[in-house]
Amino acid sequence: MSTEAERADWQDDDLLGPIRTETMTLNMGPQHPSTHGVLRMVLDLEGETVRDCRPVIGYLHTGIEKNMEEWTYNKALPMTDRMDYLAPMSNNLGYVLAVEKLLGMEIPRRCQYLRVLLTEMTRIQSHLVWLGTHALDLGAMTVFLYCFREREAIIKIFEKVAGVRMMTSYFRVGGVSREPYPEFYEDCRKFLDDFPSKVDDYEELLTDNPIFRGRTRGVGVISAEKAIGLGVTGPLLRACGVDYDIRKKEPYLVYDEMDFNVPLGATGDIYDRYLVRMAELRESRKIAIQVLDGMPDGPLMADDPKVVPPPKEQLAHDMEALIHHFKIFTEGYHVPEGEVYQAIESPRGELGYYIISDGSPSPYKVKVRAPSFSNLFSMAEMVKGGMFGDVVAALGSVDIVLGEIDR
Amino acid sequence: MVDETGESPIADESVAKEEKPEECDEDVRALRGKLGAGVLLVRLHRDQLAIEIAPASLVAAANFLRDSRGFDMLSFLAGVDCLELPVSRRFKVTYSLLDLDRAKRIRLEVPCEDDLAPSLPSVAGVWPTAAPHECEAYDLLGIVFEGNDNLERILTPDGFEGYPHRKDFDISSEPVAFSFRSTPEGKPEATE
Repeated sequence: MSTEAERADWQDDDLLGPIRTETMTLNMGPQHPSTHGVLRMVLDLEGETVRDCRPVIGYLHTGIEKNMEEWTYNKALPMTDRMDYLAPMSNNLGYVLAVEKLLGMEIPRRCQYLRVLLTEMTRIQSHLVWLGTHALDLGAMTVFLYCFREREAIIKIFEKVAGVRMMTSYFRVGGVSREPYPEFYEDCRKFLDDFPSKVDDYEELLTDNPIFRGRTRGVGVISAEKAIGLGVTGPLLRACGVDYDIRKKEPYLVYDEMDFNVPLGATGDIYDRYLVRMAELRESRKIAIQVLDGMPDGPLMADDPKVVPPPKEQLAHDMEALIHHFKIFTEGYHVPEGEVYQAIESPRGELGYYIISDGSPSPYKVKVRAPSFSNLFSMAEMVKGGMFGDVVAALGSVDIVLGEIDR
Repeated sequence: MVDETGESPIADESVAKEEKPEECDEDVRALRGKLGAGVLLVRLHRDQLAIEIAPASLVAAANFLRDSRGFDMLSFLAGVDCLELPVSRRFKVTYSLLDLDRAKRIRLEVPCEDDLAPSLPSVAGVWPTAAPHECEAYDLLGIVFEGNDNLERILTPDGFEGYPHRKDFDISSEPVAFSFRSTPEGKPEATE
């Protein structure tokens, strides 16, 4: 029991003065576990209410686009998966499609199928990282462990097919770097057959979880109109109910032959983004199964000896192959003059490569339209007027990769 | 100059110009009707439409394309240093627009008139997403966007000098920090 004197010590207005009401500016990051990389956010707070949010980026800027100008088209390729390191195959794909468009090159159907299969596997593993870390931000530890278990299975397949776990650089201009290993399709099918039950597990943990729902429903809302103005793309835009998926609307590879739905949200809150991405996990699996069922026979690489390196066996006895091999790996290949922009649907949204060629073997200019860049700058709209604690939830729902924002 | 058929090549050119597929595009026609001479050039390359616009007409074109033609999303904008390209102006900015309903993309290309101090009007009032993209172009190429109140360097470190995406930015060398500290023998320390 406190005495009268002790009680008065903290209740005396003269000692404390009037309540301070000015806005406080708070730095969140760059070393903050929930900023998913090295991001700083300057928050204007009024008590616990967020009045403004300004993302500060550039901590991972490594001049990738400038580097690409100095190298040949083939040498620039490995830079691409270092931007969005959670979706390496999608980044490779955007780049090779842009260069192939500049070259006016046709890709064999088997290669297109293989690319679709691997990019959908990439989408699954990228969404798994998002789900795990997002749930972890909101205090759900188990989901993180489950997600990384399944992600590891995909990464193992990537390692066997490309030789590298994360920085795959597997897609090449004119095809892929090598024939997939013999049990590749079997491994993929085994993983995909088990996968729906795993998604059920995640959903059981989160979808009806009152804590998760309480943290996400009606939080971080952005309207469709605002989202379009801010250049938001991908699952974020679809959670607002805007039906725009580049795979459907501007099909590349063989997506126009695939049967899949585009999951849409209604309210544009964090919970809808969660539902959209969970549905996308199942749709991606559906596409991958269709690819496995319909995998055609035929060549894997485009028939263009000036661009596609010859098979290694030929080098020992074929003079012409040796010359082509030498030219591709020293001088590179000349790409006709012109400008193209190729957009693909990466796990995070519209990933585009704007490449200008001056006819030389290296790109004159490469600009990467990174989905996370535009998506991140919609943060202010999402958290203004909300609670400070919801900033973490909103940031997790955007699914940013700082590597592609800073490039 | 008269060729074999007796027609002058100038007449030929005008006929060919009318038949150019890029000129038949309804958006290009509408934009020409709105801006007149503000549309400098129309190119179609690999099925992608690029329209060159005079800097003075940029904001009018942006408003018109968004409000009347449905290009409600600015996908990105990119500054380009054309120093080594055969064009008259050194800097240009490319705006990639997307119409979500028609799934149609066009590119606006706007040359900057002053090669030494490139600047363009900001389109952040038309598409809010332009604001951070303009900061990026300003940071990497030094193109100033007038009307963007928060134009600042966002990618390069604090105190960085120069514009790294310019073609004449020197990337071949880096100043070496000499210490000139004395060794016990009294000679300056060898730098390796």
